[in-house]
Order: sequence, then structure tokens, then C-alpha cells
Amino acid sequence: MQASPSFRSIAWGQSLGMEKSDSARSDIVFGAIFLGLAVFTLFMSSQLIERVQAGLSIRTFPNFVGVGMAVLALVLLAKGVRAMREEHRTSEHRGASGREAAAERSLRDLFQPSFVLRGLGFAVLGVVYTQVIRQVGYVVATPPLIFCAMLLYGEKKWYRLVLIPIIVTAVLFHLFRTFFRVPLPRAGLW
Amino acid sequence: MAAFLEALTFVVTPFNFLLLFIGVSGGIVVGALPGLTGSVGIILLLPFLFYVSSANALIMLSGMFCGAIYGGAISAILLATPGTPSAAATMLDGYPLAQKGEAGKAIGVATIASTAGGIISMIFLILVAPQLARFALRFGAPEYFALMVFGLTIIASVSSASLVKGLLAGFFGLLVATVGLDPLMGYSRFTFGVPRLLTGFPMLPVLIGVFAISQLLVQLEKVGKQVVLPEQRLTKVLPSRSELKSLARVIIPTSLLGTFIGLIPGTGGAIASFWAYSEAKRFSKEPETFGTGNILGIAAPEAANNGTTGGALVPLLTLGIPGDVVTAVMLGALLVVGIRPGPMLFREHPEVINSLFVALLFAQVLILVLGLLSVRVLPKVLKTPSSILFPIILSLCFIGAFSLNNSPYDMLIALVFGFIGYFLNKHGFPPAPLILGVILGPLAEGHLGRALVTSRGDWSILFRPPITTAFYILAALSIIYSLRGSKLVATRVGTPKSTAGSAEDTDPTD
Repeated sequence: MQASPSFRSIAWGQSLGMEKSDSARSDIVFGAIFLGLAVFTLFMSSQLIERVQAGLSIRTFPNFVGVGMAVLALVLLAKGVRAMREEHRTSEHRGASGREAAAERSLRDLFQPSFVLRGLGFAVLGVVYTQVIRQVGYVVATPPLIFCAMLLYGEKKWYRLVLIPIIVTAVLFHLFRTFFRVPLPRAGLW
Repeated sequence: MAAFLEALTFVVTPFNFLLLFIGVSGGIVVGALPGLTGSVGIILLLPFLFYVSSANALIMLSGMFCGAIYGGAISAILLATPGTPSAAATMLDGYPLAQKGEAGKAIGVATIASTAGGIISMIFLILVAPQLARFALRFGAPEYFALMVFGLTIIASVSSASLVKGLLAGFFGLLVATVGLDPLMGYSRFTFGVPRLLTGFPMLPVLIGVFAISQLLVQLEKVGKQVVLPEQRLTKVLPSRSELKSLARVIIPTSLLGTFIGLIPGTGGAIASFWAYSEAKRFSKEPETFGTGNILGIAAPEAANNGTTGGALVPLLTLGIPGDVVTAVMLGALLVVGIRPGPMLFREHPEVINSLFVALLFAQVLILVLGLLSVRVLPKVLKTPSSILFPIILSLCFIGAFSLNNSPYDMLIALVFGFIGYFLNKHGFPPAPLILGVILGPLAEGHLGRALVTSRGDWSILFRPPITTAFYILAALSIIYSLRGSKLVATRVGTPKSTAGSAEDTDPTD
């Protein structure tokens, strides 16, 4: 008989796909990041020139955010460290190979090699597109964007790689310009 | 009545009807495609709406909002992969029925139940919202501040997997919102001398990044793992007369259940659909047939999750606080197109509200017509290769971000927040609290400032009006509810048995 999945298990339980050790390391890393961010917020807030109106300072809201974030980051750090200790105790029983495997898993989770290259490609593509669109215009910049993105998403058929970027760019350009009258960037003839 | 007729005339003009049609059909497609949700659909729609009037924009957004909730059922039935989390319960009986060769009937039942659920909840919305808005007109700055505090506690409700991570994401959203001019005195904060930062981070690129671009990055991980659509027989679509009778007995109560659940902030379609499913099973004479392709097991969750749409719009439209992730995105979208939800909208622009009500009712009718007519087309849509679909969406994301201020800088913001959203989501930080923080943070600070100016710095004004106490109590209850939910998840998360696909990447209140 099929087990009825709860909505929570669907949405969360599997979404992370992380084992306990991965989750603990992730909690420690993100706890540290948020703690750093909170400290930075409080420091920057202290640098603001104090101005008060009706009992409310310009620093009140940032201080509230900084303190709240710091407290929560410390809780996350503590959770991570506790879970890590538990994991360490368990891996002591399993021996050195267990510890190595756990460390490898955590690294794999934080920097999935399959994603790193594609993610970098995605970032470079986005940055380049945002930089060149003003210079060359929407019509010239967009087909290469779609072409490269199709390659990143694994498209191999050459006729699709040629036709789809041109057709989609033309359709979107006319849809936006003529129907919705959204001014898209133009340069030179385009 | 005259106002209603006026609104009707407005909505059925060819241009507006076309907008509604595009909204509903786009919503169905977005909801049906695994990996995309109603939130993404609403965000992708925004660039199309900058240069039409607010009323036109609202019509299209309402179509997308309703269509996406229904669309999730299509892939749940055909692929056993709910397009949206709220369709996960539909999969339990929808997919087994499809496997028996009755996919057409499963979609037909889902369409009828969705329409009925939607219509019932819209009638509720039309009856209740104006009354609540009239009451809310009495609110001053202290009441609004308390309301925003309550709204911010919804952060806790939508992050029950890990309350700490949800709250951290919310605080990060609040931090993002502090950048720029402070809302009371107009002095700059955290701008580091960069003039662009004086206006803060614009909401639309942040929304596009956190919800849409982060999803594109999630899909990038899945390259080469596309779901293969099994061949389904899609012949008989409509259920028989006797089946319709039995469906009606389930659809009406579960629609009402969904409507009431939708009213409660922090709940959403997923909770409503699973609750409705278990109630339908409990009251059924043949509970053992649930999970094997019982049509009541499709109708109950679909009626309930579409029922939440009207319920969730009540607090959004009357008080300006979102009840779940989609309405949080909807709130952002409304602000972007120049509509500020709240009681003043009902008083100052009743024509906009009336046309929205009519559009929402028409949207349900369109769902019925399009759903039944497109049964044979939708499986073909689901076959769209991700290598074509996601690059197109990426292009739309960039246009969307650009068209806000005609600035490539906004595209860059969307990209940066896309990566931030991806990494946070990947490590269990839900995106919804971040957005709630970005949207509600400045509103809360603004109302706090106004309340203190009125009272000349006397902080006790925040607790004096009785309504504020009610909101603080609701806020406390919301946190207690979330803490209980968090413990429940902690006990369950170790043994998940789900077979769901794309819904795993999204929030259950989406």
C-alpha cells in the first residue's frame, strides 16, 4: 500500500536531501556567515550619525535587525556544533573511514561539482548579458544569451540551438514593443 | 448592482478578456510545469504589466493566480509530480486513476472540483472582504504597526521546517529592506556612498532573483534528469451523472474548508488539500479505495486548494498582509504595478476592486473551459524540453528586471539575489520569509514612526488601542503554532516517504 506523504515531508524533508552531518556543517557555515553579517550590521549602524525623531532613532531598526540576527545565528551555530559532536561520537564508533566519508559528504553538499561549472557559466552569462545589452541592444544580445543558456541546460540538437534563440527573441521583442509597449534597450539599427 | 454591471462591462472588453485569458492559460501552464510555481508565474508576468493600467494588471494577475493553483493538478495526475505543492494530495488518487487508463477523467474531475472550489471561495471573498475593509478603515498607525508585526510573524508560520532558519531568512529580508533612505526622516542607511543604493534594493529584481532565477539554478542541477511523460489515454473527460452527484457531496464542504484555511495566514493550499483529502477519506463509505484512484480523492484536495485562493485574498486585499507565499508575491506584484492593498483601496478605488471580483469569477469559468478543452494539449506542454523552457524563462527574468527602471543594474541585482536565494534554499532557508521581510519591514518601520510622531514619542501608544492587543495576541499564537509545527517536522523529517518531484523544491504554502 502506498504511504501517504505529508505535505511537510514533501516540501521540506526531501528538499534538502542532506544527511545529518551535512546539515550540521551547513548550519555551522551559515550560522557563522549570519553572525558575521549581524556584527557588520551593528557596526555599520553604530557609524550612522545619530538622528532621533519622536523617540525613534535612525539606528533603531538596523540595531533590532542586527541583534535579532546575531541571536538566531548563535542558536544555529550551537545547533550545528551539537549535531556535529553527536556525529563525531557516532563516527568514532565507525572509525576513521566513517569520519572521512562524512567530511567528503559535507563538502560534496556545499560545492556540488556537477553544479559548480554550470553555475559559474550561468553567472558569467548573466553578468556579460547585463553589461552588453546597453551597448548592442536587446535584439543582438538576447539570441546569444538563449543559445548559451540552452547549452547549459543540455540542449544538443543544432537546429533547436539555431532556431529557438532567434524565434524567441523576435517574438518577445514584438510582444513587448508592440503589444505591451515596454521599451527594450536598442542600439544602432536595433 | 450598477457597480457590478460596470465592472462586468469593463472585464468583458476584448482587451481585458484577452489579458484574463493570457493570465489563466499562462497560470495553468506554469502550474502544470514541474519546477515552476504560481509565484514564479506572477513574477514573470510583471514586465508585461508596467505599461497597462492598474486595473488591467490586476485582471491578468488574478488570472495567473487562479490558473496556477489549478495547473498543479495536471502534472500531479499525469506525472505523479505535483506542479505546485498544493497539488501533492491530488497525486495520491489522480496518478493511480491515470495508470488505470482514465487520465482524462482524472483531469476532468480535478477541473470541475477546482472550478467549484474557486467559485465558492470567490463568493465568500466578495461577501466578506468589503465588510472587513470597512472595519479596517478605523485603523490608525498603531493598529497598522501591530498588523505588520502580526504579518511578520507569518515568517515563522511559513518556516516550520526550521524555525531558526526561517527567522534568519526573515531577518536577512529585513536587513535588505534597511538599505536606502529610512522611511521616517529620509536619511541614508547602509548606502556606502553609492547613489544607486539610496533607493534601496528594488523589490521586483529581488523577487525575480529569489523566486525565479533561484529556481532556474535548481533546475540547472537537474540537467539530464528530465521526467519522461508516460503515454496516457485521454479519452473520456467528463464524469457520469451519478459520479457528479457523489462529487458534489465532497466538493462543497471541502471548498468551504479550503476557504476557511486560506483565511488563516501562514497556511496555504498544501495544508488545505491534505486536510480535505483526509476528511473525504474519513467520511467515505469506501475509505480503502483512497489511494487507488478514487475520484473523490481527486475532487477533495482540488476543491480545497482552489478554495484557499479566495480566503487568502481576504487578508491581502483588506489589510495588506499576505497569508502565504503566493499572496506574499502577489502583494509585491500589486505594489510594483501601483496598487496598495488595504481598506483605502476599497474606499478610493471601488471600481478596481469590483473589476477584480468579476475577473476572479470569470477566471474560474475560464479554468473550467480551458481545463476541459485542453486535456489533450496539456500533456504536450509538459513534454517541453527544459533546455528550451528555462532559457526562455531566463530571458523573461532579465527583461522583467530591466523593464522596472530600464536599467541593467536591476538585472544584476536579480542575478545576485538569484544566487543568494539558491544557496539559502539549498541549505534549508526558505525564500518566503526573506520576501516577507523585504516587503513588510519598511511598512512596519513606517507605521511605527508615524505612530510615535502622533504620540510625540510615547511608545505606550503601540499598546493602547484594543485592536493592537488582538493583533499582538494573534502574533503570539502564530509563533506558538509555528513552534509546534517545527517540532512536528523535526519528528517526521527523518523518515520521509514522498514520491513527489518538483514540489520538493518549493514551499508548502506556495
